[in-house]
Amino acid sequence: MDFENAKAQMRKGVLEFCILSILSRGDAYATDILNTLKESELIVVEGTLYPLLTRQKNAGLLSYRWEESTQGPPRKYYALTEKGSEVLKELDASWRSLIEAVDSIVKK
Amino acid sequence: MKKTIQIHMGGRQFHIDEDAYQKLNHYLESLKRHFVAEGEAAKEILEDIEHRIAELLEKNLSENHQSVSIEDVNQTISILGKVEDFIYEESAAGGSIPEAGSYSRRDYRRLYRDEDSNYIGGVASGMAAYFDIDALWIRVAFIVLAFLHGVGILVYLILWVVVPKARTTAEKLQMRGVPVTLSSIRESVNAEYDKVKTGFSHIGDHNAIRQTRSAFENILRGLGLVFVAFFKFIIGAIGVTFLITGAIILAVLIMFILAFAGILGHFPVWNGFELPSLTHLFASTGHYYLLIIALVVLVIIPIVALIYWGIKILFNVQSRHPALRAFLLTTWILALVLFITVIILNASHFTMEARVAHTARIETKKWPRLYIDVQDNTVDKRITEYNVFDRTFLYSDHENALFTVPELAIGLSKDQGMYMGIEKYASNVVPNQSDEAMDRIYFQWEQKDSVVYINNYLTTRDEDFWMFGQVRLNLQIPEGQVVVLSERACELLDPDQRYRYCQDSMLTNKPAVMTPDGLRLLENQKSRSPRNK
Repeated sequence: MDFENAKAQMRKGVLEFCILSILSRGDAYATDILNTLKESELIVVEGTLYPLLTRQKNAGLLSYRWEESTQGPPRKYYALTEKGSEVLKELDASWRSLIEAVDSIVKK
Repeated sequence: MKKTIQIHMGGRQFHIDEDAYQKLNHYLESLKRHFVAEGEAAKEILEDIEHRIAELLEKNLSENHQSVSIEDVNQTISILGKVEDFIYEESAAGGSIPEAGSYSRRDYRRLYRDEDSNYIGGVASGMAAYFDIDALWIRVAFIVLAFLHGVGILVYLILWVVVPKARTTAEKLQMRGVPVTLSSIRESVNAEYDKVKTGFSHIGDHNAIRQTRSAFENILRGLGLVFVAFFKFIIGAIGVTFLITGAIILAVLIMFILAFAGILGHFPVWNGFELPSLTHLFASTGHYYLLIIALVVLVIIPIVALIYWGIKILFNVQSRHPALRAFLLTTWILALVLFITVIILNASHFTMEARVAHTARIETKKWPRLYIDVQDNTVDKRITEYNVFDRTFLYSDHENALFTVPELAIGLSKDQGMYMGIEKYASNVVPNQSDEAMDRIYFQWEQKDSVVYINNYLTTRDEDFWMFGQVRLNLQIPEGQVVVLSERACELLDPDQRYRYCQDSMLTNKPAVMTPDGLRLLENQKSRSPRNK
């Protein structure tokens, strides 16, 4: 059994949920999101985040705006759309019930 | 001093070393190829990544370090990750790829068409990548095969359709097998290290148990490996069988169809068996082409499917043609319906047997001795004899006509006159059209003075093949009439009479008189002939 693979699959499954979660606490630009995700070791290489962000944006879950920065060129700030918050709510609910279900088995 | 290049990226200006620039460029190119799969979004993703690269590079720059070095680029790449890393993370989620570090080079390889270095469809270069040989050899093989009845062209076209194009970088990598990258080496080393570590932790207290267990495990694993190898061999064998049988059936079928469609004309299929160009042979069905098309589709689609599965099994091809599959299935079902409909329609048309007879008088008054002879009506008609499935028939390509030998029977006339009864009969005639059908059976005889000439063949149009038209002649001879049967007339007699009259040339070319019991050799002739000698 390859546990690394199982872990990677779990990580990937919750990654999109986490992106929405991070943005629900306030608008952020890609590097903010990256730093949060890397701190919690959810992603290993940064390159995998960008296609996810673009996909979520194209699915209407996120929107973005350009904002001036003091440290360089304008940054792309992502924000949660209404649809995004709804999806997040659903994901959150199913995540919690999943945790409870798993806990009830694992901690028995 | 190193040569530096000025670039503009992610809204920032950089001075970058030449080697660093090369490396960065190469990296961006690889990303670009990888994200092709994302379609429209690819450009945006790349822009975002470029922004991040610029941000990371800028962080490393300082007063003493003003131009981007190759170390900076390497560091940035390691943060963002290589295409191979993306593939690993993405495939891990899909779960379709075997465990990292444990897969062999071969397992991970798939056959794709390589349109980066193609001449036509990239089939040859894709195969070259799969087999790890020079594409030239594959191309030569295709060209050589193309001269064998076009087999090469056919195989190429099938592969072109079946084998998907390598679109993303991931697929391009799979086409060549997984290259040895730092990350894949690291993974396999880690995996090995973990194994060894767990192994060591058991040594000591459980030493003996551990050893026996690992021995047992080894046997099991060995058996497993043998089983897997065996299974792979079986799968491969099935693939090869599908491929070969499919290809052979297809080739033979195409030859048959071409032969029947008259394209190849006289096509020698095998020893002594020839198919004539009988395009009109089936035309009497009225649906000849429909039937042929239905039949071709019915047979070709399963065979192509067979070859398709063979290729899939053999080369681990990922199919991307759900629409094609649905289309083929629908087409096949439609062809089946068409086929059955045509068969039923035609079967209902061919239910009748037809028969017509008429009698003509033969002049006997002036000629007490009549000669019965056969005239050849095939002179200068270029007829060929064909043998198909034990049935012999004569056919003229030139006139599209079939030639059949009539039957002759000799009987006693009911009155003093001599008559020629001509009976035409045919099977599989369309109802209400028997008169026309009878007219299409063409037969002639004639009386020239004392000689009655019978045509040695009746003719029908080739489109009336299935009618099996036949003519039976009833030669009615009055009692006491003297006739002479020629050798060839004897040959037309039905077997009974031929035995009775022509055995050992009994009556052949000799005057015979009609009696109530049949023909007899003329008495005085019998006594006279020895004297003449």
